[in-house]
Amino acid sequence: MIIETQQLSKKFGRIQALDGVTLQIEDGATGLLGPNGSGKTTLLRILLGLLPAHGTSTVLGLDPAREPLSVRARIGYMPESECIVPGLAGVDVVAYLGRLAGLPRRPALKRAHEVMYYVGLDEQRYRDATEYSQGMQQRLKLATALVHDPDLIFLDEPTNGLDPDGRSEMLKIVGELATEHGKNLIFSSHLLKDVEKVCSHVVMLRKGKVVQTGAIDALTSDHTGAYAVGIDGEREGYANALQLAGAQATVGANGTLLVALPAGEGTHFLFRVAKDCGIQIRSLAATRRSLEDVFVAEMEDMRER
Amino acid sequence: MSVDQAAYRPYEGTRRPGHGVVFAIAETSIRRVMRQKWIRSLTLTIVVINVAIGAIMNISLNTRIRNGMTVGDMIENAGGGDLDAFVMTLRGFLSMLYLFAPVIAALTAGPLIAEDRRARALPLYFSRPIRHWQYVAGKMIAAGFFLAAMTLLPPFAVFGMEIANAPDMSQVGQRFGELLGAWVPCVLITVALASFSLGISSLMDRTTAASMLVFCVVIFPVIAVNAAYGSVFTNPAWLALDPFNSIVRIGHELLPPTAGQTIDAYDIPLANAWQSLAGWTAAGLLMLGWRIRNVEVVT
Repeated sequence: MIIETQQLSKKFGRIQALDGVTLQIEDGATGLLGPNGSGKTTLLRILLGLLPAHGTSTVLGLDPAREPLSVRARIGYMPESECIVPGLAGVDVVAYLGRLAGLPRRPALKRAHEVMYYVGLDEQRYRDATEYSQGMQQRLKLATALVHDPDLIFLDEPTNGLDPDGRSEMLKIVGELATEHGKNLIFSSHLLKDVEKVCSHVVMLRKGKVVQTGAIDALTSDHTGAYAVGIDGEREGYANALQLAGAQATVGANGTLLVALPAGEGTHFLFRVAKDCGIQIRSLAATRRSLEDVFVAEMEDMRER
Repeated sequence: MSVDQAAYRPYEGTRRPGHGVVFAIAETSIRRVMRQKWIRSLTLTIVVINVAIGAIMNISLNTRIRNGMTVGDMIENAGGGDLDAFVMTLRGFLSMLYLFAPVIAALTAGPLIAEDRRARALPLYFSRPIRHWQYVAGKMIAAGFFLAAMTLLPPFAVFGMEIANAPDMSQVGQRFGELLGAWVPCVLITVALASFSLGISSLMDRTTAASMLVFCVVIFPVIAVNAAYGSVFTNPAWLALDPFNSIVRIGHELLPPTAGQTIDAYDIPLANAWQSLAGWTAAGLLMLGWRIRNVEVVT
């Protein structure tokens, strides 16, 4: 267990940023999902010991409220906002923040060069960091989070402002950290696909409350009640026959027929209609829910409550 | 780039969280200021000018003493008493701080925190294992570095010149004591100006505006009052607020004439001088502490 919170609450004036957040986060990569203003950044700041809050929390077995410096020494934090140490070359920024994290001067500089290579800024490392493009600044922030080789990495909206190529590269680097280098990371984002690509677990927040937690595989394993049907024969005719029998059928982008069964019917319904149409079913698979389906369902569920 | 270089590698070296942080912040802040060529040039120019003025003053006074003029004749208008050339030079130097210390404080200390705020660097610092006081201390040292170059070096240079020309080496010990006597007010004005300038700096996001504000708050009231009331404004409250008046007062106490001292009309009680400097320092530190604590929440 890397993070555990009990009834964590935080108010800014009249705004309830966090409302009784209780969660447990296991080793590995966990996505912190939620719309803007759902409390993701506030939660990260509380876990870093930067903000006081009601309730209890432990990070890597330490209490951030009581031992904030010990917690921060073991965490690498990549903030969401545009931020840079002005007046220094990129590699000096990373080395400087490495020193602030507890590395001696020479190892910090050596390490800074290594992580600049790792994040792909090797050729830009002697340039003034304030001249970096937004994509390069995001990479630089990642390098500053990695320089002291932390046990846990907090990434707050790491793909913000990146073009599609930059975003893809950032996700690749972050994904490798989790899968190939065994790093524990918390990936805070409002972009479901980014989280799905990098993380094995997810915590969903809305209006400061946890609405869902768990392994992404488990959350998306529930099938939607729809089936992907591969057939040998005329798709349109079979689709029309299914609709006449009360099902909802659409032809997917890859030519597969997506069928939602009528209430009370099982898969034998598909075979029965196929037999009536003289069509052979070649494949049949229950469609899984995407993380987006889960997220939208949870948000709607909470709205209704 | 080799594959080996591109791979992520764990760090297995020494870790000492919290150690050397103040020095790292101070060193990096000084480097950042020194990257600006014009500040390097200006700082060096002011140091050279001060050393030169001190040297000329000292040589001139010594020459006139050798030519038979009594010190009393020379210092009739400089506070009275039986001063010698070295002490007169040091006292003159303390008065000169008035001219250049605010300029250096505004240019070097003024932007130190403002540029961190503008670049939103504070969340990067405070997500590391550092304490607020370490950040403040690091910035204080950086601000003090430039002010100290202004205030400590010129008296030291004059001291070296005095010793080199001294006919009697038995005076070295006494001269060194007088040098320390001049350094104490220098250190005090350095601390007071550094903390106040950093306090102002922490309020601003724009470095130029921070520099201007430091200069205006420290110097503008003096110019305005002198323009309105003449060169010497003797309102006690005003004299107590003026940090340079306090410095001169403390300096005169530490570098006393041996006999026949007269108190200048604009002098203030010694206790008030200390209180004034403590007030400027405390005001700066309070502003700084308040802003640095709140900035975590704001950002």
